[in-house]
Amino acid sequence: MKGYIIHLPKSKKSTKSAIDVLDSVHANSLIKCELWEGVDRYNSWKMVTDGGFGFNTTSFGGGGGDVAAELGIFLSHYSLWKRCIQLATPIAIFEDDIKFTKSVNLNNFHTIFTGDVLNLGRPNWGLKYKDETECPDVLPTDSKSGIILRDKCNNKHNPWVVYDELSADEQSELCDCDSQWLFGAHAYIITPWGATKLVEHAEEEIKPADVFINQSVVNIHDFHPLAVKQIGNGTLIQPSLNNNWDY
Amino acid sequence: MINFIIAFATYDSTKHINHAEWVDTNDGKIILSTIQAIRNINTIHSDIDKKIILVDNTNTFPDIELPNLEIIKGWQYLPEVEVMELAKINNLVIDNIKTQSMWASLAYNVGIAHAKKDSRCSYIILQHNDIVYHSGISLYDMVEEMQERDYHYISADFKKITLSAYATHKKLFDKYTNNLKDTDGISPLDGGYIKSKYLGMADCYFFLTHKEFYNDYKVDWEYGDSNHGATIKCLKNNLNIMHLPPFYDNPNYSTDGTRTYEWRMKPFITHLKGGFSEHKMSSSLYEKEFAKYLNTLDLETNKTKI
Repeated sequence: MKGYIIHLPKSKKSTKSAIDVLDSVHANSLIKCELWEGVDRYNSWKMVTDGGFGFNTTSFGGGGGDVAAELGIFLSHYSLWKRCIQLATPIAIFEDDIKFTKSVNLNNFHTIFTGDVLNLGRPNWGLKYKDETECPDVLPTDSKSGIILRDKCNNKHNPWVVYDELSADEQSELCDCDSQWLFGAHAYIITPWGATKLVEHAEEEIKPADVFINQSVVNIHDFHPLAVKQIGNGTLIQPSLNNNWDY
Repeated sequence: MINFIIAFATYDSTKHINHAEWVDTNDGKIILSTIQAIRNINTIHSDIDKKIILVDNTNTFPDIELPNLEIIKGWQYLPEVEVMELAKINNLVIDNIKTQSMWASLAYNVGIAHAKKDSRCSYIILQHNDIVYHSGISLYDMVEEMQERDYHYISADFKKITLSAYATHKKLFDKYTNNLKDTDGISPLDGGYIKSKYLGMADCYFFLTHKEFYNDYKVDWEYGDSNHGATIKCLKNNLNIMHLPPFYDNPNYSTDGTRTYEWRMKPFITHLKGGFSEHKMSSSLYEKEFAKYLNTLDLETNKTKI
């Protein structure tokens, strides 16, 4: 299987980190990975308007996030979904700040997986699957093994609010689980049919990549136990405006 | 052709921007919602022959292309000496560089001067970048009503006359209020204002005129906020004007605070409100209000992307 690591070639930090990711992928899987040039915050406005993408405006810039960088990240993932469709074969997509914590065996993947998206990654924040209220270090799902279709949660979610800061009334209306979306979107495999659904959905409106890859659009499977850790120490694909851009 | 003029600004303490003492803004959110506001014009007024002139006052808007959009530079990011020189050439008086309404007014004047160079331009709309147009109202109908009733402008809201504006221009306001006898006096609330339902001011939230209106008028900041001078001009010359209700920025009227202005009893525009809302679009204190505005903006705009 081919794999791609999204990075920003002009950024020394991003490039160095992406090379570490390349080593980690090759040491822990049979994925043949290469670096893929992402879209940075300086080109994203023009690309997103030239592309005629509609926005879900409330979804960008949550928590003071850098909107231009978020758009760039979306466009980077989008370019790889198109690449997947073009190659007509599943591909692995990694961001430049991940590390394998254990090896993964994806032998016979093409014959056994017929879903849209297979998540490999565990985010660097507390993760809650459906019906879970705590974020323990060892997830209940860690004891599972293999490819499992993720339960859908039909409650109302708002991934852009800090749940703990909501009033009791507001909390009662919202579910805080992460099961609907591809938390982190830092390590996953996409199939051509999954990529087609995402590209078609992007014609309506776009959101930050991890929230955009949502169970309302694609089915999401997890490869348990999740083998890829998001380092997130400066998350080079989405550096904050003030302290991480190095060019 | 109708020319829409939108003033734009963000604040970044690492760049030279006059009157940037306020906290830095979340530029990305402001740019995103401004792009959506431009798309909103193209979507809702798709039948209108138009140009959209965005005056980038702080040189922080990205270099993008959208249908009917022309981006020009304002003056707020220029060195003070250069601003003074430009003001002199354009016959404008820069009296206090720390007045935000002055920078906004200057941006509109830069846009108006640019629009007037185009012989196809007949009407000009000044508007903020935090405005959503609702579907169902044709600007051609509005222009037609302007012509039929000889309105010299149509402006959203009918803003209060502040106590400070009254104190500074007492003679003028006394003339139009019969020495305040035609009013209910002065209220000390809201920073002080004249209690009158019959005298209110224009602004640039939404302000439609024929381009010739600007032959003897420049957008001013003299009477407490941007463009109040347009009303003074019409009062002095006894010209017909129209203000779109409800009058949210006039405490002489009670409103529901939703900031949706109406024309012929139908929703016309919704305004986030707050200068150009740079800080509302950046501060967590206004997150819910901003989200509500963006939902309305998306709802009207994403129906048909242009």
